[in-house]
Amino acid sequence: MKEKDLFLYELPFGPAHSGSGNFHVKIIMDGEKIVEARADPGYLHRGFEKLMEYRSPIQNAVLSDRICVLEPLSWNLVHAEVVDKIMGYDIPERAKYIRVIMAELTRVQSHLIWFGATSIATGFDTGFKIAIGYRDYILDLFEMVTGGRVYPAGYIRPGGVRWDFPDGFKNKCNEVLEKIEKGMASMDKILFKNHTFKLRTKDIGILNKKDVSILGATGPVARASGIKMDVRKDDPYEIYDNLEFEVPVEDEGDAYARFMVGREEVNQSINIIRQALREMPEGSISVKIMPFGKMKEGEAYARIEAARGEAGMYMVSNGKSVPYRVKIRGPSFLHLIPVLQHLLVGSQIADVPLIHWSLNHCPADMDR
Amino acid sequence: MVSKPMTVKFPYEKLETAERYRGEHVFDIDKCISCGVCERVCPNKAIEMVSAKDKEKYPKKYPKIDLGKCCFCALCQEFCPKGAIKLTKNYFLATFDSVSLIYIPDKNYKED
Repeated sequence: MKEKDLFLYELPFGPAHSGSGNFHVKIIMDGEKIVEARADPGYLHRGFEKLMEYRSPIQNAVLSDRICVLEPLSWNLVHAEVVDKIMGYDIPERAKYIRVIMAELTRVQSHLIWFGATSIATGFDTGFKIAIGYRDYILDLFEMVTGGRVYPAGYIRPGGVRWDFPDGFKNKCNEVLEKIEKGMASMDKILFKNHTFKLRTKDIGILNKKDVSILGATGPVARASGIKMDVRKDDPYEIYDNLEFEVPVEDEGDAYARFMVGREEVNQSINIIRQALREMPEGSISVKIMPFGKMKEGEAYARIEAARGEAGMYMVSNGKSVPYRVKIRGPSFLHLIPVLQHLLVGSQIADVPLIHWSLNHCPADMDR
Repeated sequence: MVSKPMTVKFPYEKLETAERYRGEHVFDIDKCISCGVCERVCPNKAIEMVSAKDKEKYPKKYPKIDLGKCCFCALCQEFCPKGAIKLTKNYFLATFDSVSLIYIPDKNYKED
């Protein structure tokens, strides 16, 4: 051991911290500077891939809520897509619109949690309360449509959706969107355009463009580093090819750029929801499904743009009523292990929570 | 600064839950035909088909629901062919006693 190594010490970040699931990073420190970071995941492993091998697709739709608490409807959508591909369901047009509206509302509420947690990471608690307060209006919509504020119980499921929108949903949704826009305007004032916040987040945790594909970043993290990738545009699913929206891109690759990409995505999502509400046709909401029917033989991979990046699910079926094998690709897996380890090296100890939160992670979908 | 707060003063004021809220179960034993769909469709295996206490009047098997295992997905309500199981808007289910969460099929519907 060299003499210099005697001054290095190990600092555990986590496993329990505010605002997110359990996740541990071992940080080797030299004074206030980080020399090495090792991610130590596994605290939230619940074994969804194995559990899904014992349940029929209808039951798996309920289970898929639990993959990520912060955006259950996105994971419902991935699961529904992959089973639809295997079974060859022809989804009714109205169901596709409902799926997109719910998925985009989920993205908005997930981003609001992100901004709230970011405020906490910078030591600004008021921002957290504002963000979570406005998020609750979206949860009211979820309660109205799915019967649960957070867990929709497999609302988006293979073959369509479980229930149609209730009466008066359109008006209430438009009201909520207006409220969210108002809330985002106040978040702009106190957070995104705040001079102190800019000082705190600029030039911190810079992810270069060439590292994005090496480390496997997707979603807002990749877009903030100047790479224009979005599954909704590159490989459109549901009705995204009929909708007009833009993919926000920033070039700096630092924490501030990631927040600004997220900020603009909220605007785009609101825009998408308004378009979809306007163009939504009447009709049936689900194909006829049998609760205990057998699955077709085959395999499929489906991917969607979740709030955190590319969420995917691979499923193999051998003709029984339950899938033979399921593999889940959580976007946070690559954000929290290779990307976080890369970004932490060389940064200051005070920036660790901020870098951690700027990646818009969810340890629950990493550990599955 | 002067706008109304987003929250309500909870024990004195309550927000109305949505029509579709998935809370405590009610079970109507007279409607039940003992088909066992609820037992098969339950993802958490919270429902078990058992005999009722009053065996002369209700000779078949009926669902016993363990709310401690339940995930409130309402699949039992959705696939019940006769509408015998319904989820109500009641969400005050906290208890110190896990046995009181096991609902047996008879009329009183709570295990003594």
